Amino acid sequence: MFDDRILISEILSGNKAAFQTFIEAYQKLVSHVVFRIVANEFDREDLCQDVFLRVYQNLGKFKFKCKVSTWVAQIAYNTSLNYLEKRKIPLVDDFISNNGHNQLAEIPEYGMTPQQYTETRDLNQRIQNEVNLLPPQYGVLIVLYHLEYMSYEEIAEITNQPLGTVKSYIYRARRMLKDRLLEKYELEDILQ
Amino acid sequence: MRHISDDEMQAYLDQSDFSEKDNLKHHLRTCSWCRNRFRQYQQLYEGLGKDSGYKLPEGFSDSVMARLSIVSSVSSVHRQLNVLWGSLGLIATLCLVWYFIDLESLAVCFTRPFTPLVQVGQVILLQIRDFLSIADGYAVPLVASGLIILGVAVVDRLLLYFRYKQFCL
Repeated sequence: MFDDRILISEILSGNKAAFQTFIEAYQKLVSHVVFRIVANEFDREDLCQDVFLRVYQNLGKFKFKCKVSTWVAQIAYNTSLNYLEKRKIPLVDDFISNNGHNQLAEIPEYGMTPQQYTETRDLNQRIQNEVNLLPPQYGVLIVLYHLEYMSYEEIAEITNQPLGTVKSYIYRARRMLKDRLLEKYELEDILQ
Repeated sequence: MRHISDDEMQAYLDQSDFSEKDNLKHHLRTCSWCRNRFRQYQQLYEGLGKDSGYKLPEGFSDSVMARLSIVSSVSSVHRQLNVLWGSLGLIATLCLVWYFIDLESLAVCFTRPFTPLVQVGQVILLQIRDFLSIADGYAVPLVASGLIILGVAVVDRLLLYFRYKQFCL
């Protein structure tokens, strides 16, 4: 384990190897955020690189008012949103639109035939498939909570959304995931 | 009997400050419908905690470091060019001031104690008028020089932009 403060002061004093250590420590977090928001696999890696370059350029301004991971995730989140904005790719704002339409239920299941679904027996794989179908805004919240073990408060800080909104989005996403899994697979499969 | 809501189950599984823990546990012991739903949520939480399998390629950090060194050198070229253009602009301005403006009368105006601001303004306006009348004959070469400098700067920036676009943020 390394101390973030020492590592950052090393980087600021010009130690390139320290920055490489920093990248290796946070690349998983960055990839979790970027890969959930950006669908284009050719741009993802470049975007992850952009995130670390921004981190490097702004490291001197970081005042340790939050965790380093929160700050890095915030940069990754904003970089990904800028990417979507530049390419005019919309982020889905809500599962249920104003007219009560369930957008999540209408998301097409690319590349998965019903037969393939049946063949995909592993529950975790099924869950991952469903998470992949979530709108990026929700997928990233789920990933930050469940894979990065971040608190609702930290996620609210990263995404710059009110705490209540973040909580309700995550709760709703989980409920939808559960319902969709139950709809698609036999109940006894889920409760194996 | 009130069943446990989805939000309550999630709050319990989140291990947050859920005040109804004992009631929930008791209800789960007696209600098979809620117990099933609770198990579904447990399974979901377990599945969500597994890694998605998305991974950056081996040597990703090396790629970032390589790009960082290119970005640093491009930034340093940009900085040097900025200094160069700034210096040229400053020198050009100083030459114009020195050649066309009567610095002596301005200096007299500023060194006089308690010169009213209106008077200073008048002197400056006078200088501008004189400058414009002197520059009258040189207007075309002056404007042409300005445009050439501007054109070179724009071309320079465009060339740099396209050459280093992939390295810049």
